[in-house]
Amino acid sequence: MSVGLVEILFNTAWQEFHSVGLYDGSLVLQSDTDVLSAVTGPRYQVFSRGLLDEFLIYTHSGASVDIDRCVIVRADRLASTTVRFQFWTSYSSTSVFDDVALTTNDLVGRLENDYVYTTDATALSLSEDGDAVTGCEAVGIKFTGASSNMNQVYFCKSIQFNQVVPGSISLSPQPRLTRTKVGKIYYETTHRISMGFHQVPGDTVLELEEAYSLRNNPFFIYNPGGEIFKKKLLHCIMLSAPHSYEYDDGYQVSLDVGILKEYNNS
Amino acid sequence: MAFEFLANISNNVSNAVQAIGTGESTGYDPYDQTHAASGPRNEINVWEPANSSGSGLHFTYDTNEWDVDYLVIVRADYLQSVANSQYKVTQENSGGTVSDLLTWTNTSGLTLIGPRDQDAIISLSTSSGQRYGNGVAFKDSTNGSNRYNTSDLIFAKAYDIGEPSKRPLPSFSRLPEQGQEFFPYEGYYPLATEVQFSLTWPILNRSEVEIFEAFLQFGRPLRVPFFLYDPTGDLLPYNLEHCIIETYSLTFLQTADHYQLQISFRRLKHYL
Repeated sequence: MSVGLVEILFNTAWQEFHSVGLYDGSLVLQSDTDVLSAVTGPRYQVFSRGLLDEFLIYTHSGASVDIDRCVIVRADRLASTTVRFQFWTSYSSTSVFDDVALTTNDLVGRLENDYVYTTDATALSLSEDGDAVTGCEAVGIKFTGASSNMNQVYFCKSIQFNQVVPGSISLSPQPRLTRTKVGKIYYETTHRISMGFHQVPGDTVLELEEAYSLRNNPFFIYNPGGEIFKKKLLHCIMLSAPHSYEYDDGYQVSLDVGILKEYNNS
Repeated sequence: MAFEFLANISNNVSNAVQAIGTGESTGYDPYDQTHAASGPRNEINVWEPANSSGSGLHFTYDTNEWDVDYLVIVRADYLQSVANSQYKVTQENSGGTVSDLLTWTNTSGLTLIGPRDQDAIISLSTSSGQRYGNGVAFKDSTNGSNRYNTSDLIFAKAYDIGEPSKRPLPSFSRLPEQGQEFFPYEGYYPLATEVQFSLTWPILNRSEVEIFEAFLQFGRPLRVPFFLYDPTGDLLPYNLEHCIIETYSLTFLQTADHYQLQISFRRLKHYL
C-alpha cells in the first residue's frame, strides 16, 4: 500500500546521508553555517536562504536510500512559489524531479503551516502515487521564491500503519513549559497523544526499531486522509513506542508522543 | 435546555475599559478593571455612583464583533444586600457609540445561583452590529448614595457540545486544604480551588469536537476561569460552576466520526 492510514515520517535522509548543504542553481556548495537547522530541532529554529533557484540537498556518495515523502516545516513561507523535489540515483548526473506549485490550500498541521510532499507517479515515473523513489544517492529541494528563513526539511521513507486499536488514540494537554529531552535538545510540548496499532507486520516493526533517528529527533505523524487528525500532520517527539506480538505474524505497536509547541516567528 | 461552556469575553478580547459615570466619586478605580475581567472570586470591586448615570465599567472589544450570550455577575448577592439597587447593561456598535441594551432593572429580580447562591446570570440578545463592546453599571433607584460590591463581571460567549453523560452522575470531591492551590496548565498564577469534578461526553461527532476546540482556542479554559451553565440542574446541582479545566482527554473511537471527551474541572474557591 502506497499511502498508510497513519504514517510516521522521520528524517530518513539525515539518518542515512549525514551530509546536507545549500547549493546554487549550478549545484555549487554555498558557504553556510546554520543549514543544520534543516535536519532537526524545535520549530523556532531556522536557517536562512538567500538565492533564487537555491537547492537544499542531502547527499552521501554511494548511498542507496528509498524516499517517498518530504515534509517542509513552515512551508507557508513558500506559498505561491514553485518548489522542485529532486531525487538523484547518481549524484549529480542522474535524477528525477517533480515541480510543485505550492498554494496555501496545500498546507497541513495544527496552524496549517507545513507541507507534505508525496511522491508523484506521473512526474517521477513510479508505478503508483506514494511509491518510494528507490536507490537515492542524494535528495533535495529547489527553492524558487525570494530569500526567506526556513525551518526543517525532512526527506522520509514513511513507516505505515493501517489498523488502529479502537479507542486507543487519546489526546490530552500538558502543563505550560513542559520540556522533554530528546537527543541533546529539550523540546517544549503542548499536548500528549497516545495511539495503538494492531496487525502491524514484523517488517514494519523492524523499520520502527531501526529508525534510531526517531528516538533522537522530532518526527511527524501524518494522517493523509485526515480521518483521525483533521489537520493531518503532527510534529512530535517520541516518549515511548513499545510493541508486543499479537497473532498471525502481527504485532501491536503503541506510540506515546509529545506534540511540539508551535511558534509564530517569521 | 443546553449545557454550555461560557467563555470569558471580558478578559479575552477586550482591549479597553472605560468607567461608566464620572469622577473619583463614582468609585471607579483603574485597578478594579483587571479584577472585574477575571481572577479569583475574592477580588472585589466597589462601585459608588454619584448620580443617575450609575457607576460601572464598559469593555470595548477588539475590532471583531462578538457573540455575547450572557452576563455573569459574580457576587451578585452583594448587590441584593443593598436596598433599591439597580443594574443596567450597555452595548457598543461598530462606530463606538454606546447605548443601553438593558435599561435600569432592580437587582432584587436576579436569581442567585452557584454553589453558595452568590452569582447571577443574565441572558443577552444583542442585535447584529452592536457587539463591539459591553458594559454594566449599578445605582440606587432613588439615586441615593450607596456603595455596591461585585467580583467579576463576565460577558460570556456560550459553546454547546451537548450534555455530558448522566450515568454515572458527576461526583464532586472537596479538596483537602493542602491540595487547593492549583496552577492551571497554561496559566501564569495559581488559583485557589475547592472542589474537583469530572464530566464525560461518551460520544461526540467531529463538529462537536470542533466546537470544543474553538472553546479551547477562544476561552483558554486551561488558563482563564470560565463557567459551566446547566439551567436544568440535572448535572450541576447549583446550575452554575465557576471553574477552570484541570485536564482533559479526547479519545478517537475509530468508529467513523466518534470521539469521547473527558474533562476534569476545578471549582474556584468560594468565599463567604
